[in-house]
Amino acid sequence: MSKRRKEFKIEPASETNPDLTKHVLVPEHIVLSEEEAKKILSEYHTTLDQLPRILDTDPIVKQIGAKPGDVIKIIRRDDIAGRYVYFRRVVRASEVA
Amino acid sequence: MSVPIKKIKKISFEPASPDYIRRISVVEVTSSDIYDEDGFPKRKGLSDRRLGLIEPYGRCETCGCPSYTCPGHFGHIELARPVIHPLYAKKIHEILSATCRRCSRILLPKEVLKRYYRRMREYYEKNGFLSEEIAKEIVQKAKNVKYCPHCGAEQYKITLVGATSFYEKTPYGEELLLPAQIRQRLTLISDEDARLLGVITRPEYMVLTVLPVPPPAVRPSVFLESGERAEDDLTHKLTDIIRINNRLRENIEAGAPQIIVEDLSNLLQYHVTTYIDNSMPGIPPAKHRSGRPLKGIAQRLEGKMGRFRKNLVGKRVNFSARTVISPDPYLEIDEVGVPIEIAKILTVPERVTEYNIEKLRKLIMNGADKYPGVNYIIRPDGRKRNLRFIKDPEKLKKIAESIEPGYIVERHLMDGDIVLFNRQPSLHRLSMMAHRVRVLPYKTFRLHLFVCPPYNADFDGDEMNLHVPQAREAQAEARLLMNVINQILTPRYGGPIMGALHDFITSAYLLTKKTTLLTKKEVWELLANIGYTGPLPEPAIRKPKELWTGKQIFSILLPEGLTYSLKAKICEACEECKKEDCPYDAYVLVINGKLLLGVIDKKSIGPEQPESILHVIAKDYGNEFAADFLNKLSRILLSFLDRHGFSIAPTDIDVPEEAKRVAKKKMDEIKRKVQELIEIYKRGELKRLPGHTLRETLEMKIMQILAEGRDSLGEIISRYIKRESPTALITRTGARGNPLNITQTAACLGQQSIRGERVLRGFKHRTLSHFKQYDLGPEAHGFVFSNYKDGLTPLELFFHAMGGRESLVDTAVRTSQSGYMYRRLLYALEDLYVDYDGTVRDADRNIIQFKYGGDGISVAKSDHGKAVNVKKIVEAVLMTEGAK
Repeated sequence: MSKRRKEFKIEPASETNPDLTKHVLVPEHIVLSEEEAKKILSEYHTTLDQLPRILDTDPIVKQIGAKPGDVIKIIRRDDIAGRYVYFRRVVRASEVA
Repeated sequence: MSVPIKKIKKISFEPASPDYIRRISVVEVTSSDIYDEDGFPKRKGLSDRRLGLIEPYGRCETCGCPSYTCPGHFGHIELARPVIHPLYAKKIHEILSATCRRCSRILLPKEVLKRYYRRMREYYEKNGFLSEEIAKEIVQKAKNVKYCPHCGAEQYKITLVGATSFYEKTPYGEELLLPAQIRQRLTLISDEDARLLGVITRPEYMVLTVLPVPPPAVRPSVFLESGERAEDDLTHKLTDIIRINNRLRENIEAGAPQIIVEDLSNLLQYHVTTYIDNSMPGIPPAKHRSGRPLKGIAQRLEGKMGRFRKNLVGKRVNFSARTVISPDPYLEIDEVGVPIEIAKILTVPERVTEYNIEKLRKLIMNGADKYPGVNYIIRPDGRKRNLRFIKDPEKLKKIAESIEPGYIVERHLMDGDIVLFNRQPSLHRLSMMAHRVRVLPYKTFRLHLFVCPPYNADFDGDEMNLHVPQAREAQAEARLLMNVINQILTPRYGGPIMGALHDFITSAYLLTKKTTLLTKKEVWELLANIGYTGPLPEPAIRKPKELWTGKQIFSILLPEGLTYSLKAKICEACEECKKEDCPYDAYVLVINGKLLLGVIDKKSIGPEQPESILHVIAKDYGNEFAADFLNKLSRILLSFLDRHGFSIAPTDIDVPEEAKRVAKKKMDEIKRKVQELIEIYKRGELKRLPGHTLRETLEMKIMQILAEGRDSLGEIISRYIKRESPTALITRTGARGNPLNITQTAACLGQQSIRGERVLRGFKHRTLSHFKQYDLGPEAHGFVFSNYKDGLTPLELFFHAMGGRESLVDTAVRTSQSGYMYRRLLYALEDLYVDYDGTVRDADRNIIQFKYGGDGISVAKSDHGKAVNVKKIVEAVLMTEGAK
């Protein structure tokens, strides 16, 4: 596949491009630094490729400006489980079948 | 850390080259005779010793192995004339149609082919196999080209007649294409063009010149009792092929006339075709002498009884049994009744030791036919001795004497053995549980009623399977992990899945209601059922006679120290709960193991009732105690109901004339209301609801009025039905039935619906010719005012049948659909596990959840999904304090 990949820019929130982080149904997404990500991986005795994935074309990924290879920390809250931290690694949409 | 993995890059199925067939062959089979005059396998015949042998004696001449290790070796037949492979005839037809009859190139311009070639290569590199779609596209485009774009030769239409004959429509008439000619054309096709047509090896391989001969292990001959040999169908077919092939070769070599050679070639083609597939359309199937069609290679593989579905995907087991199930409340909940006939067939291996030798000797002396007996004895050297044919008691005695420690005795299934019991569909881990055996007379499996819910079993003809674990290890695992007792609490939500049902609940209610008082004799008769020998509590009434309440008897079963409260099923959900002063005795209060208030019904001891008394007992006092509780409970309740007696009758729900009058009035009111609504609609004054048409709005409002009407009718009628009448009682206690059943039986059936709407279809603008067109009234659209007890009018019955049919069809469709959905879900989740660090991972150790369920709680061990039920604990503490 020789198609050139589009670079995603962080666009400011607007009428047509709402701020997703403010939406009630979108949990908090945080891009981890490299050291933080490494710490998480060793904490769970796992490797990057064994983390759940999230596409780089996902709107929230675009908005927080995460790049493929980054780890995103997601803090979810629900009635049953309470606070629940989840990690996902950003992957290139074009590389996922 | 990662596990080293060998990956299979690809598997592909392609026609083998003649060269390959010769290479794997150990012998060219030329003789149509299998055995010589002396009855020995003939060399170069179909049972040549070099092909491997199937007799238990002798060694294979190729590998030198005896028959049980020799895998068999292929031979081959050199065909005198090429033969079309019947399963590739269609492909050959496509290829011939798409290629030039002179230069064998694909009938498309060079540039187009180049484009296709690039596309095909890209596809191949990505997927590892050729695209059938691209090949199809090329054939579609090329097959109607008139002149070859490469050499200019004119093209003629080629037709496939029957299974393997090809004809070319030339201007001089239809010409038969011989397999040799076809093979010639295919040979000339370039590798590139072949790939474009979806062939990765060589197209000419689809025309056979050499036929592989499978080893005898694939087509074993059987020896009949008369000493005769009967050959396998494939062997028969191969002899046919060899015979005709030899005759054909001789004729060709002798320079026989062309007609004869042609006839023989066709015959050879027929035999090869039916050898591979004996059900080709247009080909008369080859028959056995008896007239039975022979089994070709294709027939061995295809269909439900074929190699795939029967042998490879299908699984069968030994040491199993299946029969109809029936109930037996005198069994313990973790027992299963096994018919004696089955117990005599299923065996358990028992190793002889000095401790059990005497017992086993006694069993052996019984032989295989007398019940606690032995079917086989295995000596330490592995030799198995079948006792089924030894009837002589003297002989049996001798055998019994001969055993010593180290022998293994396969004895009949006996009381106390552990077995797995299963009912399909096995959707659950609870669908297969370990039971203790009780050998019983008669021919059904017996199980305790309380274990019906996990199996979802009833006794209307259900059958169940039974498996006997053989290894000690398997028996131990079954006993510890699969044991019924340890499955009382379901892993689905941590509540009990087993419990009292139907009459047991009725009985519990009757026993524990306030008016039940028992004499000393009655009390002891009940308690004798559980072998209770402890002290009796102080009688509730001393004079004039000592009497005990049912609650006191029930309390004997409860563990000491149990403090709990709940609302019974019979609770009427009053606006303000009076708790201890409940007029219905629906407030159940247990303090320190004594049932002080409330009646016991479904909410306390029923299956699938979380936060019930049974649940608390299982959680706080353990599964063993809960199982014991259920066993004792079932015996006491059964005995009590036996003595008490319980019958329901249609007269239970008879209502006085007055009630009927009130109901009639209500019905008229409903009809009037609907009529009013229709008037409003017809006047055009009805307000349309958002998102609906006017007509939909009307329908919705009518349905609403009718539904409310039916409910109020039921309510009116139920006011006249005695609360303590047996029919009302079983619904109130949750033993069986619900209020709607009573309403429909005694008051009014209500609206019959088709696709969630009133009955709207039928004739033009009306459902039946008994109504006027455009009648929107309730009766004209399937509202049934009658009830089951009084009976339906003919029109009502018709509408009822319409609704009934729909629900029948729906359930049939729903079960198959949801069953398949569940199956797919299961396959997606089957290899997920909770790792030691609390994460959920799949088989490749990919993380699925970082903490099981987000909160790390094991639902199976939870209290209805929560780690602790704080509210209930506080309540219990307060009650204990209050009691002091």
